[in-house]
Amino acid sequence: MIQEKDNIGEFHQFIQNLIMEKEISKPYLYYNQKLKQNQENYQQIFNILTSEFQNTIQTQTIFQDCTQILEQHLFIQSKIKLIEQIFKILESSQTYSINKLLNQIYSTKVYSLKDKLLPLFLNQFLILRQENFDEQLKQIILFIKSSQFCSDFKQYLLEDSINYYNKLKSIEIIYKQYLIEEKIINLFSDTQLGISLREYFNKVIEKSLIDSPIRLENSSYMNAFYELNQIIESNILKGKIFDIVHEGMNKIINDENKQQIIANIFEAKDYYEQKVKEIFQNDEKIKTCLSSAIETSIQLKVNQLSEQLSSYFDQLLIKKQENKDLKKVQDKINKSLELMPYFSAKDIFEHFYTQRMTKRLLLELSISQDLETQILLKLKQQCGDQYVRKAEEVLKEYKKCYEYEYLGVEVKLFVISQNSWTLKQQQIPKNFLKEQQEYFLENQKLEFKQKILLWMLECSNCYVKGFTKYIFIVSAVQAMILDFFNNQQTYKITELIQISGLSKDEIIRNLIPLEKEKLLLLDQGMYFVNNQFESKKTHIKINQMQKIEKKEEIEENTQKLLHDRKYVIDASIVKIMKRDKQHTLQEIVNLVLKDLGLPIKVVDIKQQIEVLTEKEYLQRDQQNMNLFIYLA
Amino acid sequence: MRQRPNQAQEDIMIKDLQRVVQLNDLQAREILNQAQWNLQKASNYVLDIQKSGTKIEDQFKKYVSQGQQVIDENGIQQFCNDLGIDLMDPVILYISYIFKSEIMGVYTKFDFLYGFTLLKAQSTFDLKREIKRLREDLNNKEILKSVYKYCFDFTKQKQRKDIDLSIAQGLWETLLKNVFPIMNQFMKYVSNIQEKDQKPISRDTYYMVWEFCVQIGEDLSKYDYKTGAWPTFIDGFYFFMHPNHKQQ
Repeated sequence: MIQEKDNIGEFHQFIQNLIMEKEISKPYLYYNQKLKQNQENYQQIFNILTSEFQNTIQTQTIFQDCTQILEQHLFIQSKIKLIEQIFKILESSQTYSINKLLNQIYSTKVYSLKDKLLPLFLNQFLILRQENFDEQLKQIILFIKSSQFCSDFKQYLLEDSINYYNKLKSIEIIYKQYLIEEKIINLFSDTQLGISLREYFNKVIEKSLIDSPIRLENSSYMNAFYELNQIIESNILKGKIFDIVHEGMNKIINDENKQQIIANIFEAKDYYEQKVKEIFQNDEKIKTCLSSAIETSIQLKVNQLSEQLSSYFDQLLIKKQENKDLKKVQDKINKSLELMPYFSAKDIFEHFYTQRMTKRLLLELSISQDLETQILLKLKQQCGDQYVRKAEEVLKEYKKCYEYEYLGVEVKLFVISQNSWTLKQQQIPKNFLKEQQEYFLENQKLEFKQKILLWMLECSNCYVKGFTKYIFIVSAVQAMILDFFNNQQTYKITELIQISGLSKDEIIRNLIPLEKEKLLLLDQGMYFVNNQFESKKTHIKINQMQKIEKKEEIEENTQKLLHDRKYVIDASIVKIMKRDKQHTLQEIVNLVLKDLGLPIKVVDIKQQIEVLTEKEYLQRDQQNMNLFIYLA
Repeated sequence: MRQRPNQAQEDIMIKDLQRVVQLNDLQAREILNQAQWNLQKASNYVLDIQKSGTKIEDQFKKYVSQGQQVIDENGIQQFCNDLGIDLMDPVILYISYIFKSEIMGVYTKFDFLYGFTLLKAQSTFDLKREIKRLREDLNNKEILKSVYKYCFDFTKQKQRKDIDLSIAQGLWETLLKNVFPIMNQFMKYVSNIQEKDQKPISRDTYYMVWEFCVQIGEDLSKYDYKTGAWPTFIDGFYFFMHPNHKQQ
């Protein structure tokens, strides 16, 4: 018995020393052997062991500081493992494991201190979470996971987290926090807490995305915005980009200064594309929504804008200072051509483009004929062979130039068919250059046998030699007026009107620049030549007064083209119905829109269907009122 | 049973029948149809009507003005008075339909011969007795539909393909307003149309107004204004009732 007591006492001592980290006198193996010899006393030893352990726990554990708690926890875990190793023998004969039991004792103790522990940990959690995810945070989480109050902790943590999230305001802060939260959530992954945390955080992301504005100038801000958007896979960014681009474009399109609109549209588009590249890494969805926003904006005024686009091209192709660099012009044009699909009022664009091109060519204002041809080719590729046939005709006819000299006047002229020449103009007065006209007709009799030639006024320049050393570049009417002064010294306006046969407006419009440049002088209602004329230049171009009707003319032409669309729609419907024999209304609408590619409304197509039904091209089906049948 | 003739053959037979007796295309077609396109049979029929219709002819002559061949508007007014009905009564349209009369405002001799025979009447007095039954007939939607459709050609001028809005308005008032409640609103819409926007009504639109009453009626939520193939005139009515649905 005494020996037993001794043995047990030895174990006593051993455990104490072990837990208090005092020196252990004998090696572990010794105790192992002792156990083997003391098999009957297993139970006793076992009980001593556990009660000793309990006592130590009661007295020794300190709870002041998170770091200490963690250290303690790790220490105790390691001791338990050690004891387990030594008393493995006990395990095989006992009904439950030492490890489990010791841990149970320990956990119960820890749980009893739950109310003190939890706030401590939560606080620490909050502090660490604000700074960065580091090892200590990780350790705390691991500790909690292993403890009995894990579920309690989780509840509190969730509440705390929600509060914390709701305080996060700015996009950049949220993004920074996201990176930390991700690591935390991963540690709780596959648990309800992990799922809930993610859910709430995503909600916060979503709300802040919705509430925050787009600031394209601020790269870091937008980067964070983009990343957050991608994280919750939302369409919020797409929607906001659309709105902002749409708004921006609308402003540009509704600008007072009409000349700059197209250029501004292109500039804005470049800017936005640049941003998409920089900030959004050329994300496909955002690129699409950018295109869509621009297209939608342009659609609002597509008819006017298509006309303005042709004007924009015109400005690029005229001889002037800004267009000296041919390569630059070519680049600009190529870029503009890429954007053609947005300006879907193709019929309007084509009409005005042809008009303006004709004018450019005839007034010799075009910077390069090659470029003109190139552009037509590209337009053909985009919109079909037939699209630019009028313009091509003009270009072809322009290439054939007639030059001759008769009675001291050198003539250079082009003959263009009226189909292609869409400019509305006056003819030149019958008597002006009469001999030259007749001479031309005589010599070209064969070529223009069956044709009627009209001599047109506006697209012509006259080079008039004056005061011996000067050459004036004037319009045809001005040349005619100056020629009159070869016959008579002075003229009244009424006289000029009479002999020319032109209207008062026309005469005045042409006299004013001549007077301004001091070729002619006005005195008491009489015009006479200024023989004291002087100028530094020898070639002097007299600027023309543009006809004021230009704006109304554009409007008139546009209206006519819009009206002509009815016939275009008719032709398309008949073509489709003849081919397919029958279609529902919706099918017809879709096919016509696809066929024409013009910005026409459904109601326009519907109206033409009604017209065609009345003309008995189509018939409504008796059984299905939505079906229309082609009548042969 | 003889094979039904084609369009061209039908037209020839109609012309042939018209040589036998003076009757309009509609009547000829109707009679030939009845006779299974047997010209002989049809000819016999019309000759029979003529032969046995002396009393009807007398009745006819009573309404004809001096030196005329046909009954004009005055005569028709008198006719209506004798029948005890108003000139605007739908029954007179129904009677014209039975007569298969060609143009509103004119009754020909054959109109009377044919119509009275069909209605088994020898005089206006006989016809008057039928008025009550005829009115009841109009409650039958099938019959009303036939009369409604007939009225388009009845009121249409020969050289035109459509009818004026005012005439269509009259027909809708007379035939449809008291049958379909939605027509009350519809007539408001029509009277609201500005003069500059008033356009003639095509056959398709006219027929579709009937379909609208029958298919949609009061419940405008059924009306498909986006993809439905309703005529734009009826779309106009829908937007009159729901201005907020009209797109820019």
